Amino acid sequence: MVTFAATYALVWLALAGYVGWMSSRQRRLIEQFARLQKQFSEVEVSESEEHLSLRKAA
Amino acid sequence: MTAHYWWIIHKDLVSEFRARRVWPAMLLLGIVVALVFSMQMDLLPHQKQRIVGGLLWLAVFFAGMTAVDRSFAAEHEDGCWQGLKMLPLSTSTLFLAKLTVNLLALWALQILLVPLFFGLSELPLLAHAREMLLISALASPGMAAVGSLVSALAAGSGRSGSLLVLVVLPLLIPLVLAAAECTRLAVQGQIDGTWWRWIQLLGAFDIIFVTAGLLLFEYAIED
Amino acid sequence: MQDKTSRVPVMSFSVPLLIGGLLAAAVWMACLYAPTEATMGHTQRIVYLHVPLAWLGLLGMLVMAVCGAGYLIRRNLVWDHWCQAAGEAGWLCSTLTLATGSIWAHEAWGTWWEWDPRLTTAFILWVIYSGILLVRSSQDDPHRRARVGAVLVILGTLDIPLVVMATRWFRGLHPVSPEMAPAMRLTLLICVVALTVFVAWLVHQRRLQVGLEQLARRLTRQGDADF
Repeated sequence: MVTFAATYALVWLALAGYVGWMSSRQRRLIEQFARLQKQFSEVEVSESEEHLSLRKAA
Repeated sequence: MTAHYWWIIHKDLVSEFRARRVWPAMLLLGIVVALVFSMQMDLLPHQKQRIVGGLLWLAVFFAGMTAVDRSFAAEHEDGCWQGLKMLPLSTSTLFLAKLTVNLLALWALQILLVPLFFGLSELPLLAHAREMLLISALASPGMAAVGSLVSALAAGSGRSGSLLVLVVLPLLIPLVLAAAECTRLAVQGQIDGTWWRWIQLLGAFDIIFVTAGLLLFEYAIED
Repeated sequence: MQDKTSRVPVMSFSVPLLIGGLLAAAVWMACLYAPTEATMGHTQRIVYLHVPLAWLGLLGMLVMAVCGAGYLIRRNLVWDHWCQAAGEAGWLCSTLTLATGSIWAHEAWGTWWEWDPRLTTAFILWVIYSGILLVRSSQDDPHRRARVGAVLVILGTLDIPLVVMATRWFRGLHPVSPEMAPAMRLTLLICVVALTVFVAWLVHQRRLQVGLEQLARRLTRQGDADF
């Protein structure tokens, strides 16, 4: 009885563990994309400032 | 095309005989493994009969793989690889040529190791010579095919080469098992239906993996 | 080009609920519905996990091989993402097969391991999985990783039938399906279906994630290069 319960617990824990691992990677991914978004928005800001200054010079 | 085939074989064999880098190491490793195994084999003759097959073919595998692994690594190191790929060779020809060279190396190893193992186990070799020749002829192409393909893959992958050779052993387990069983049955004088079934497995292994090698080789050597 | 991997995997709840329900049904059947076996008692219920896991281990390798071939022919990295996802799930199932098989062996035969055909095959399968995943992780370039992985997994898949034959003949045993009551067979079937659906869903989620991770890596490198 104990063996069978322990085995089931083991298997489901392992599968749950894999899901948990995937979730933690998903969180890291979201952070990474947030950072990338910030990076690219900064690029856009500096690019638009460049365009503005070029227009003013012209 | 056959001209290319013979040319590559000739090139590899000549360069090996001149440099003597690989074959001596392979033969020496085989001898060392054989001796270490036999030192552990403080057994009765009928017990030795049971295990000599497995030990022999494991020794052939370990020693043989060192040679097979080098067959591609050497090309990459000496910078010949780019030159070889630029020649108007079909990849099949290149694979078959490399396969043949590795096959010859494995056979050379077996010419040394089979008598050595039989001698160390005090088993009569001549009585079973025909069977051993057949086993040898059938086991080696499969080993050479898998080894050549994986070595080609490893050589192009740089530092992870040694990892790849790790994958070869589990792949070759059916072959080593079959060769070991054939040897054991031959030594025990049981040339029956079971023996022939194992021989057929060896044959099937060869056909499957030489074909697979021919099909996959071009993908293995891309860069 | 419409990059399908850029879709963020938003979890709609219907599919997970369905799968959860199926799993719950399977567990209920395995633990309560299926009759207790005469000789082994409750421990026999391990088979309702062991068999699906073993089947999934084999299926995972087959899927990897198909995806590997798909990559070699099409050179689209999405095939490799499927390959990676299937490989991870397959490895996990293979490991659990060995664990449940070992526990079963201990209960049935009193020893933690037996070189019987099925366990031996399971072990060799696990070693091949581990080797392939290790080699894949050692390659940095995505295309090289995909190519090397594909060749190895095709070799591995071709090898499996030979391993099965060799291990069976080695022991001189022909494994016989144990006699099972109809209720047991039904339970086993439901468990196989439930676990297959669950793992397939896991693989699908993981492959989306792998694609996104690769995209993030590429963009980060590009970003660093630009700045």
